[in-house]
Amino acid sequence: MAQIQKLPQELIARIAAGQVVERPASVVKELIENSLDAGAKHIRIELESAGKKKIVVVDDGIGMSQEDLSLCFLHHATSKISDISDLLAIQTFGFRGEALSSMCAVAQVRIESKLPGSLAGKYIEVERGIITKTGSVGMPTGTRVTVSGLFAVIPARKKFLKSDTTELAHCLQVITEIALANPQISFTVSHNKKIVLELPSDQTILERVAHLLSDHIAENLLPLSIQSDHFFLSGFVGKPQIGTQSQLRQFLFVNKRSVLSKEISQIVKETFSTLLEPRSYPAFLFNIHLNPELIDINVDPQKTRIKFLIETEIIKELNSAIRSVLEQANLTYEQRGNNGFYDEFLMDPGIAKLVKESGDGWNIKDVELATGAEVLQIHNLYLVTQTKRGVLIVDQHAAHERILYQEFLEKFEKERNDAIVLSEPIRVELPVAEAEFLKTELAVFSKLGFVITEEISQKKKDQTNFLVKQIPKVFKTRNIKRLIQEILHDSVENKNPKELDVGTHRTLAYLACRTAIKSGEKLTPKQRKRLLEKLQQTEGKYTCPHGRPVEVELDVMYLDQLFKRVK
Amino acid sequence: MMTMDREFSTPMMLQYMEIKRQYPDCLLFFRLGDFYELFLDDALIGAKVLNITLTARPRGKDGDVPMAGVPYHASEQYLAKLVKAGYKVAICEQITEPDKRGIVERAVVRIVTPGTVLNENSLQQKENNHIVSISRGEEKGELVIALAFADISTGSFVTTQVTAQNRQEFEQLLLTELLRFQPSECILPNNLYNEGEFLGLLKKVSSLNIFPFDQWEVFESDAANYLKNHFGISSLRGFGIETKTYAKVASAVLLGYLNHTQQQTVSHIKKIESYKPHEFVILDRSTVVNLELFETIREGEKQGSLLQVIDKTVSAAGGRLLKNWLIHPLKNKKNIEQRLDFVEECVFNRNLRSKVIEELSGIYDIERIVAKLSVGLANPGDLLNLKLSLQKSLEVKKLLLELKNNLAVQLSKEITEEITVVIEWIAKQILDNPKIDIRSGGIIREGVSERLDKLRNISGGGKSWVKELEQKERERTGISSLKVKYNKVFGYYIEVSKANLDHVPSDYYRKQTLVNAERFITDDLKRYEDMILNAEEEIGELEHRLFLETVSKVVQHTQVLQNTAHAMSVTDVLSSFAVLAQKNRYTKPELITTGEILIREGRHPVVETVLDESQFVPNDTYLNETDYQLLLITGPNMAGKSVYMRQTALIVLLAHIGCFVPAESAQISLVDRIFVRSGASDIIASGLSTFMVEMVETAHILNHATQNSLIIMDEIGRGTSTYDGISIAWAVAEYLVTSGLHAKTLFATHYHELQKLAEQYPEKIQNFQVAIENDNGEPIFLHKVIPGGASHSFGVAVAKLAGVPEIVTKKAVKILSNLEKKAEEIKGENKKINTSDLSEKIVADLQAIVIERMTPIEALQELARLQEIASKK
Repeated sequence: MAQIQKLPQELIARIAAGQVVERPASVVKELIENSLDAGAKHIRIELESAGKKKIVVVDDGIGMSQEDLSLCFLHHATSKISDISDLLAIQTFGFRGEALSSMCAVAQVRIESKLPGSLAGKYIEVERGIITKTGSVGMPTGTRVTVSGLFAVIPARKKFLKSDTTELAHCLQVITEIALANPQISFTVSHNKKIVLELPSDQTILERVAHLLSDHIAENLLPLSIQSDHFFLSGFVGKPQIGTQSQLRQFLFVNKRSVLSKEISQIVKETFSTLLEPRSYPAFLFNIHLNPELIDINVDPQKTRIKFLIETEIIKELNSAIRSVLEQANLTYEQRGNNGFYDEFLMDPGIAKLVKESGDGWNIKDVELATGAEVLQIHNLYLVTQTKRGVLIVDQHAAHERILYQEFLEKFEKERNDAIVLSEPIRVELPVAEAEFLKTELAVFSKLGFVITEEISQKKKDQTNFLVKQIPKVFKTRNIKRLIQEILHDSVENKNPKELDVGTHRTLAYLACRTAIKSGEKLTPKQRKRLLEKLQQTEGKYTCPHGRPVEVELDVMYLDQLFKRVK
Repeated sequence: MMTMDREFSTPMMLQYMEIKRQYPDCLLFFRLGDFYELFLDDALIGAKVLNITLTARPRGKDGDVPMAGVPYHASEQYLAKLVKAGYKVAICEQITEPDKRGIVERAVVRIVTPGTVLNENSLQQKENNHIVSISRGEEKGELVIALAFADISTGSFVTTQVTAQNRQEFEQLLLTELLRFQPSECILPNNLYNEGEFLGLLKKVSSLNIFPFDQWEVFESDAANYLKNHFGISSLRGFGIETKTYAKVASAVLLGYLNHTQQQTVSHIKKIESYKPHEFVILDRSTVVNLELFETIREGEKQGSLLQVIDKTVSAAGGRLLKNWLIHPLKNKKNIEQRLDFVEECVFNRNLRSKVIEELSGIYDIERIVAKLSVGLANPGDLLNLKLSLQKSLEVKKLLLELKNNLAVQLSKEITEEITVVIEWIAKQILDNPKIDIRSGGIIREGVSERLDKLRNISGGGKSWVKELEQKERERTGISSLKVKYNKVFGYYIEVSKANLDHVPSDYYRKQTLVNAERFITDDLKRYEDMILNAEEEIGELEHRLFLETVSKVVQHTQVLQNTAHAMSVTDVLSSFAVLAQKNRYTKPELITTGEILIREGRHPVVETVLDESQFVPNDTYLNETDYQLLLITGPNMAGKSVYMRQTALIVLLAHIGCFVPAESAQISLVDRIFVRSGASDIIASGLSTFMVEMVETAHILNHATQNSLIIMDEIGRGTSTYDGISIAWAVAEYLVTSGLHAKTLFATHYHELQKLAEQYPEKIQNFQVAIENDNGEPIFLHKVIPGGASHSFGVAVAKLAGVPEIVTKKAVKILSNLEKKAEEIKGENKKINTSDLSEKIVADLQAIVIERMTPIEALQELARLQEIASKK
């Protein structure tokens, strides 16, 4: 048995570096952000083998002096903050002085840089944290950083990298985010010497979106802006049809920095609610500008997650802004009947009510059935009866569908907390990367009612298997392995576990639809009455789970008008 | 070798010989059924060039006749090959239908030559195909030369007439003009063709096919009238050639030749544009070559040329125009600024620009379609493409009207509403999916001709008539399996199976017997068949006639179609400049009149796109007519002197064609010529020694440069011994600043001795160097041009970098230090090279010899060389 001993300094540096430099995309991100901090107008990114072999970032920013060059790769050396007060007001992208030093620890790095007025550029080459070469070089003003052989000194880490396709996708996602936040800057990206992206300078944000994402997306964005006491927000939310199954179309920039905010993703989704298909995410692009003192970005080494000190204000303003944009965008009932957005997306009774209230054609009032009134069935489809105010017409299928859906939902909610202990545990094998994730997410799973333990694989010593011993009752009929992967992906994408319900929304709605009374079924007077009574007790009774109306009430006033009894 | 004088007696060969005699300089494509045949000597050439089989077919009494043929439907590609190889081909068609009596009549319908070919296989989309005629004479003791250039595939026709003081100038003018148009064919009068020296000069122009034109004198004698007749005008004043005798001759002869090759009037040539070479910035051959405008010097490839980098055009005609502009830079400030303003508006109005480009990229080659229509080579598909292109032109017109600049307004006016007439006419006449063969129907719309509709009814009604007949005959004969069928050999027939033969009525005539069936016809069926077949034949003829009528109506609008095509291609080039500007970050040059050239952070448009590992270093340039008239740039090879000087020339050139330039900012005074003299390797093939070419070109520059010229002199005097070289370079540089030329000059040399010139002429010359950092004797090239003279050549270091063996470089270091110790600086223009210098040189050379590495021959040669130097004492 080996004795515990203090790690050599170099090793510590490498391990720490791994926290910052996770994959080629993190290098790309760090380097581009440095370029932006240097005031670059044009940034060129060259990748070889998705950056595993080589990453070059060239900018035309202000460059660094020789002194800066020889310091920049040192741990916690940075030009961007110098005392603790600066840390509270970070305006630049890099700040901890970790980026370059981390890269230098895990790769060969060559930095060339020339200051504006100076004749020659200077370069240093660093390997394993040690300068191996310095000198002068002919070059234009700006900086060029070449990172080659990423993780060559940490084989375990290198193995962790995925295929070129995947890593390239990550790099491009990072570049996409930054390029969207900086439409005035031109970017050229090449992979294995072939140009894959060429963004001209001074584009408008919409041009950039069209260029980077697609014309289709650019054409389906609704502009949005908020000027509030403490922040300014501009950007777009996507119409429901460009929502996707992942959060890849959600872009949040705070003071031009691409960040993730669980809270903001959450509030957008909640505001859209069931305007969207289940399990899909609304597209959005927000630029938030606010006093840097009102945010905390020093949350994790990836510095992608952000905390707002004025979270409540942002959430509130965003919610109402999105709501009004959605309402103004005529996504409401005008489209009723021409099976556009309305049929497809209006699923949640709450939002349906909300949206309908905004259109003046609809008046949602509580229906009060007249006591003892007969219920007629016409065309074996509609039920007609008298209410306190007038006449109520109900679609029997839609009504029953809504009732059943609501029952199923309640049952589901109740059962989700009941767990079943499996007589025979289910063994789940996961790819290395996902297994790593699952380990960190086990707590979330136990909150959901799972009991999962780790088991060292007998075949491959470096691989972990998982034993699922207990599952929530609602999931008993599902493929457990798949389910776990799905939940895993959800948690990777910062989804609130509560939203798992939405995943089953579609199933429940389908079930309700199939079991409900069909159009054309003859009902006995007793059945009719029961159906109406039950409907009045049901939450969200105004629409069926697919969003069609369930009942329409005609006011006596309206009837009077029809018959010219009043003017 | 058989000769054309062979006697023949069969009618066909007699006919062949008769026609061949009229076109002795052409290969004769003799139509025989489905083939074009070449006979006799033509067959030998054809077989070799086309790689087809040579046969010797017996021709009755005439014995074996060598023959090689190509199928008519694939003839285009073979024609293209022959023309590319520089042959002229006369196409001889059968002009009567074959019948039993005698042989069919044949006639030549067109002649295909390298410069008059219209076939798509032979033409490059983005290149013009020019033909030139050259006329030479004398006026008032001066040499006069006139050239007429035409591109029959686009309808362009230009001419110029210039005078030269002497033979040398004459040659230079001729070559410069030929270079502008890069013709593929040249026609000459017999006397010029037989002048060996003149022919030798023309042969310097690559891929030029030179032919004498036998009928030259015919057109020469009545040139003016011939031109007036063609263009239907009473005076040539409008074309600006009324008083230019030789231009008139060159034009008339060229037009005559075009008509001769097409065997009809080339009516789409609507005007002659005359120009003076001095209307444009003159780019000499060496400028075009050294700036690598169209191809690289080393590989001769388009990849890596300026054109390839700046060409973002989306239409073929736009690509041709860009090439044309590049070789015709403007000298008129207003015209250039008009272009620049258009580009600028497109740079900012991206939305509009992308709409324009979208429309333009769907446009077909209007110019070439019009040419094909005019000479009768177009098919119905061409008409539809024309219609579509015109519709898009109208869209572009709308977009142009949204732009604010003058040029856009002018261009929009060129696209007149008249083209809607053409659009509607084509739409009315031609089916949406017409057949491509113009003789077998399926082209013309219903409602165009009553007769056609009637005929179509007859031929279309045939089907139902056949069905009815079948039904009727089944009932009449009681044979339920009876069928009425059709095949190509027998036409319509009634088929009855063997089992039912008993029931066949007597009015059935047996036509064919099969294994289990027999085929019959009846009188009724025969009559109907005739009617249908006649109808179909008439449909084919009628539609052909209607198609030709449609074409001729369209051709009446040639002028407006050509104007539209022109407007489209200008729009294409200018919007492509905007795309280029945005993509490669070019800026708008400012045209000034102070005589200065001021470029901030200029870049080489081509080099900046190919540099990979190293990055392009931008540099400033400042030139004026006084103290910065000549920049003397010193520094070692590889440092980037040439790139720097060329980038300056290219930026100036781009500004003159109305293109944005690769620089942070540029203020450019207009120039009249750009000279680029460089020790390039392209001239080795010409047979002259490198040094001779260098001196010829230098002489040319010194004789022709003016105050407004821009001169790039790269390493002049390199082709001779050091002292010769220094002396010549010195004298040339001095001449450039003292002779009153005042031409702005970038002068690069690795003779550091010349730096003294700046001291001598501080009011004219500035020393510049390319910055080098000395890293322990190893040079680090910074590619930055800075004031001051270079002090160190690093030649040995460069040799080391290049991998020259150490034993050699070490020796070189030793020799160098010896030389540096002994060398005396040259002090002034009158300083004589004294004998002690020579002795020292001989000693140094002797020391440098490594005897053990020499062959005896080399040793002898070296000895001879030393003796030669010594004898100059």
